[in-house]
Amino acid sequence: MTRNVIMYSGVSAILLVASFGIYTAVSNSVSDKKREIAILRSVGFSETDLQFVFVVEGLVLAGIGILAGWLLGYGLMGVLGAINFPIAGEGQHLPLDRGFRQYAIAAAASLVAGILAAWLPARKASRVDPVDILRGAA
Amino acid sequence: MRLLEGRGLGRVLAGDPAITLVAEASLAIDKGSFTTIVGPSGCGKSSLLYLLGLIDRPTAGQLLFEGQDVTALDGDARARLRLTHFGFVFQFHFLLPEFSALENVMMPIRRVGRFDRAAGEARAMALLDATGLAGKDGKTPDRLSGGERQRVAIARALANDPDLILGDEPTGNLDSQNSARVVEMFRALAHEQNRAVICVTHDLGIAAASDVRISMLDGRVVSIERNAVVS
Repeated sequence: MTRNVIMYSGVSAILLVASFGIYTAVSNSVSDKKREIAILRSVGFSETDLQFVFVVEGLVLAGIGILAGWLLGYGLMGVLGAINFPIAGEGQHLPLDRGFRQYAIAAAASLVAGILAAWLPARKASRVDPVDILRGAA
Repeated sequence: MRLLEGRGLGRVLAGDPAITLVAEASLAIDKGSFTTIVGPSGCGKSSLLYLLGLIDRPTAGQLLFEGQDVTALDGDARARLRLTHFGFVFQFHFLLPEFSALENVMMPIRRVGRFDRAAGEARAMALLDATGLAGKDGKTPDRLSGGERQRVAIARALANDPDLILGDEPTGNLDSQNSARVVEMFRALAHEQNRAVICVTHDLGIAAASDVRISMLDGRVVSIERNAVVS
């Protein structure tokens, strides 16, 4: 039980940092693409369309993170699991839970965090006033 | 046939002091007509165009499209109307730089979803051909000349077969030859395809080539003149 609390606390902290990463990446993308957002808005794309575009960007980032995390996690657990700790003359290994459930929980948590982290800047993107940008470009 | 009508349109930017961009503008736009809005810089031409094109919301007055009051439509309904009935051409081509000419034209077609991918692509290709851009469909905007970019923008504006085409200084960045070509396209869109074209311009030559000339000063429409028939 204690071990699980420690593990999930650690993982949550990592997830929080990763979420800030996605938030920053999507926020920067929104800032860089203000002109394009204004163009799409003037052409007739709705606020919902634009939110969708940037949430998908966050999901893609989260998806890449999940795949990389699975591969790295798998490799790292292989290394950690192979380390031998001799206790009282007897070889011991770290107790690692490498079941499918752990991978699924990590992926689900990352996806939810990715959507939330991308949704805030996506909402901002959808509220860009095209008139401001079009006037500024003239 | 009446397509668009503005009744006492106004646009005031809140602040201290408040800034009046457009005041009490009343005008009507008919199908099959090429209308220009002229006046000195800062007189509110573009602001009026954005109101007529549902990009901006009036703070006073009423806007009717095909007889329906569209003044108070919510954002998504306005966007839908722009997407399906309006086409925009700006001074700066405003194409998406990462996408090819074909993809830029296909974007509004795909969004409306009236055609499947192959039919949408065929339509976009036909529009590029019609605007004299056959063989340039795969080029990104940075590999096209200024005149070609503006023609891609016109093709994009026509993507969903709009009733109304709005141009904000569409020839402002073009040489005289390309400028004349764009004006000729606008005239043909109005007279041969029965669309309405509204164009903000500083160029009095373009204004003379239009059917109706709306003159503005200090945010107000000061005159609406019907030009003599131009051949």
